[in-house]
Amino acid sequence: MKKIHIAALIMLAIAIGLLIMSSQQLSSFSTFQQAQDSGARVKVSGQLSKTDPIIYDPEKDPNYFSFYLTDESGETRRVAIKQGKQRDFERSESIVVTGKWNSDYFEATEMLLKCPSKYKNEELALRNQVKVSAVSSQQ
Amino acid sequence: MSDIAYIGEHLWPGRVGHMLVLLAFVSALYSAYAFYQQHYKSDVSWQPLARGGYWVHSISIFGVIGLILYAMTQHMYEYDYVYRTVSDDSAMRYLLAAFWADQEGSFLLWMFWHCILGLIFMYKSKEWAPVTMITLALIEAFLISMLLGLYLPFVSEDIKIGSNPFVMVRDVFDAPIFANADYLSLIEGRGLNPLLQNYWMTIHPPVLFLGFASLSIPFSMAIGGLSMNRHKELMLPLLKWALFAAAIYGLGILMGAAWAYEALTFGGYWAWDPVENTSLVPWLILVGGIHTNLIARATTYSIKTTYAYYLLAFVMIVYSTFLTRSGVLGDTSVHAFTTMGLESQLFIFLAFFILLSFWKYYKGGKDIPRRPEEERIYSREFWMFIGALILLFSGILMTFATSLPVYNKIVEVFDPNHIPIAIDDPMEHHNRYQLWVGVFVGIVSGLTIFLRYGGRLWKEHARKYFKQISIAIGIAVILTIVLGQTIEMLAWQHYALLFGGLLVIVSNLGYLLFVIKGQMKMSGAALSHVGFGVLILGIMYSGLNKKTITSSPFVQRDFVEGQAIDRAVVLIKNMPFYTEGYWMNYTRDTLIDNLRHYRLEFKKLDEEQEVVDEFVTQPTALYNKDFTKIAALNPGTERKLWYDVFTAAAPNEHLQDIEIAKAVEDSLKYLSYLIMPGDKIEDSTWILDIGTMVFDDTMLEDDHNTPSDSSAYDLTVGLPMIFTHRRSGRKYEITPGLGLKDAYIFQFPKVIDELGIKVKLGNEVFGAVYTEDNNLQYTEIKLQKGATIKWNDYRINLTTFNPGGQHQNYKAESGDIVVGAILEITHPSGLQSRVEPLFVLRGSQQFSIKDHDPLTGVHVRFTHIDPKTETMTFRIAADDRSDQEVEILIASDVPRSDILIVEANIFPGINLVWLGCLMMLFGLSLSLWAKRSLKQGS
Repeated sequence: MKKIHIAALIMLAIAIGLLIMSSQQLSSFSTFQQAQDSGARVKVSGQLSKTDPIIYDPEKDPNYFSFYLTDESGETRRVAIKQGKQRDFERSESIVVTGKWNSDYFEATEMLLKCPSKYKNEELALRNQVKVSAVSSQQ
Repeated sequence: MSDIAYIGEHLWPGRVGHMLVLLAFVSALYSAYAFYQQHYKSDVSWQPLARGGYWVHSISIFGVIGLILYAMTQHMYEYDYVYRTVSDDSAMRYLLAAFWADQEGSFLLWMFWHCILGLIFMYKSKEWAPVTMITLALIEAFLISMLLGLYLPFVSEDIKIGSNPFVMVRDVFDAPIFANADYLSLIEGRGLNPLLQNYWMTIHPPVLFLGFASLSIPFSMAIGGLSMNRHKELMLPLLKWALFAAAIYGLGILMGAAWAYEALTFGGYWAWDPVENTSLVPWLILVGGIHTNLIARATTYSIKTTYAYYLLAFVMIVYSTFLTRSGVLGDTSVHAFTTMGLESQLFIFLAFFILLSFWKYYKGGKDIPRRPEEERIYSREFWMFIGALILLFSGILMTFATSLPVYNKIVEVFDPNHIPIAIDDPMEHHNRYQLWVGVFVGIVSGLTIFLRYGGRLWKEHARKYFKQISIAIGIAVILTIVLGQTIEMLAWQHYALLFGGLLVIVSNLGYLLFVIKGQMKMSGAALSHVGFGVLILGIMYSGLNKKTITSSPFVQRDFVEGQAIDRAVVLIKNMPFYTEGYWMNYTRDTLIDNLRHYRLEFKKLDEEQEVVDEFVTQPTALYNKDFTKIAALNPGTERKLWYDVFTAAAPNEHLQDIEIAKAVEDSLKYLSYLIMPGDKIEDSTWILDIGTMVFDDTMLEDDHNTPSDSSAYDLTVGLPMIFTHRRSGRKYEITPGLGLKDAYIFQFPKVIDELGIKVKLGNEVFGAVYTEDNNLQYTEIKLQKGATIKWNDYRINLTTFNPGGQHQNYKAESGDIVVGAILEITHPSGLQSRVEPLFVLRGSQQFSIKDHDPLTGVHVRFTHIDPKTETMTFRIAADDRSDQEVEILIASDVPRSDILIVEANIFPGINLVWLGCLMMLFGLSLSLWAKRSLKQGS
């Protein structure tokens, strides 16, 4: 066996080792109940509960944001994250939060929004839409 | 619906275009077949046919591109692709960006470069052209098949092959509007996503796709070369094309990184996003292949490995195409295209080239001569090979992590209850592993450069070698210790990385200066390696020394596990804010087209609190075209030589999106005050003095609005008022107002951010100042030119006539005889104004156009002209303003509009990142240039 093959084999072994190691960094999706029971860092996927309050008041704290998420088992719990509110938050189809359970709410450190696909589900854009400005409201 | 005769549609570009797509597909296949005949049957008579086929294919592709561009410039919204990417107000300078913004256009861009490269290659490289062109034409056939738009009836459902770029919008959407034959006059294109309206979108894709396309050449040569048994001769042209591909492809990736750094608010140039990763992997493998290719040229070792690398590099590009375009990545990437519904077709594309590569490699690989003896451990090729393995290894790790969504999909097929898994923190994950790739590449290339191929004259050379690397290692160790003080090292691994980066710089610079003594032709490799080391330094400085100066000072760093830090602060307009040695002041914002610039003024202080530097950053907000929403927030960056100050800013939420603005408006609780102008309202926090009505359009100015056009309103009313803050005594003058247009009333409320209040006028205010015509009491008056008459308390003077006068309520028709009378009206208060009612003769009819003066409240009709006496008859009335009580609505706890949520980061050494990358690319280009004159076999 050539030395170069030995070197290649060693690297292959390291690669496999690293991949096995990194598999421990994987988190799987779970529900709020599972997150509460395990206390582990997990991902929870769900939908924004639009009837519950969405709290983001940048004048008080631009780095605090809280909302209610209904997970896939249908359970709605409060989620808080220390970061600003993401744009298009209300338009999201589903939300994935990563974090862990903290006494009475889910403390997230990361949040991913899935937004509706850009074109297909929307109506045709029509000409001569009434121009409305972002502040003045038409009555 | 097909029986409707649609108005205004242009059908010919679609018909011609689709025909050209079909022709391009057929001619690509034909050309592949003809080149096959020429090469494998050694029948030279096929050559013109094969070349002709490729010409037909290329011209068809150019034609398709030209037709789409033409349809785009003509705004032919009947075509879905045009509808998706162009709108009425699209700027011509984004035409190309819009063309390749979506799947079909980017496929065409890729094919375009294959055509250009193929046309050059088939004439320039006589020996390798036929065998290479077979594969290149096959790649083209696969790519154009993505645009075929053919439906094959199969069992009960239709199978779609490709998505025709000329598909019509009425075939895509099923909407009632298409029952209207004139639907085209009603629809407007959606236009290019504002995020992509950017010069990077014009230059990044063509360079990247030229990189993709030029990698197809070494791949196609490798596929062909494996069956030709002329391996040694092939190594030089392979190397040249690989160098070209690596330089262009690398430039494409670098542009993407620069774009991300410039435009995205996450603050960085690389996010380990799946699309970024899958485009980096082929490049890494390509660079690995260049190293084995150099070995193969110098020693005839590693020929087989070189083929393997080039085959793999292309397969990884196809894999990346599959990932980004099939929708498999879903929401894990910001780059993913909207899906075309071609998952199976993309999969066949991938599978075909994987199988072709394996088959050719297995079949041809057996015949490649192998050198019986082993590489010597002190030879250059041994360690270069190790380096190439490390690059491959890096690519494998990255690919596995990026392929988790694919793994999830596959497992789901067998186990529908499978819970998808994902990497917890991709940034952290990749940084942790790729760090070691950086360390080893640095060390290996640092130690290898002084070795000789074949270990030639090792006995004589060994002493010198060990001396050279001892010096290099020594300098690198010292520099690691010194520079380590200037970087916030978080772990011992970072010292290893710093050492790796410095060693590669020191030894390659040494090699450049003392061994080859700066000879340009030989310095490509060493320069690239130095560039790699500089890149490592740049990554370390910008990554580890990155400082968020807007974070709260008590939290030291942001890596504390599970503990996010406060990244942003709120700046109030014109209230300077001090943080971490900087005064920041948000002074104003300016709207230019649909881009709002927020001006942030910085003053840097030294330890004695003296101002040492002043600069301005301008983060921006890009609105969508109807100003209902901010489409993108772009950072503003101050570039210094050694560090960048990177600022991202967002206005308060209700200013970002009209939906949120409406929700906020609905949640406000207005208190209603009925009051006479000139009166006073007292609240516990403020005193309000009301002025008297104004009728000009001053209140339309609103710096948070799109500029309003005052002439758009029939009547405007404003009520100036002064709020006095009780505690501070500060006074705030505002003029909330109303605008009347047709039957709509538009509100122009005013906000006083310091008091947190919003003020608007009740809609009935118009009623208080404007009386409907049928409630007016008209009086008839007769006047001669120049005469003055008293009517009630008004004085009315008929100043002069204006033949052919105009009025907004009068539409002239031919044959009309029009006279305007100009009357000067003096209000009892002394206010003066002019009105100009019209008298119109249309045939035998005569009628009058009333004029109204909002200031004095006078309505005047011009009803009769007596030519004999030159006496004019007018009917005059005045608004009933006796009951002038108006409604003022005041809401408190209103969100401020004058705040900006700002995150500011200091990026030291970001220029080292760019410098390092450019040096690598320069080195690659230099190597290519140095080989330009080499002939085969040399």
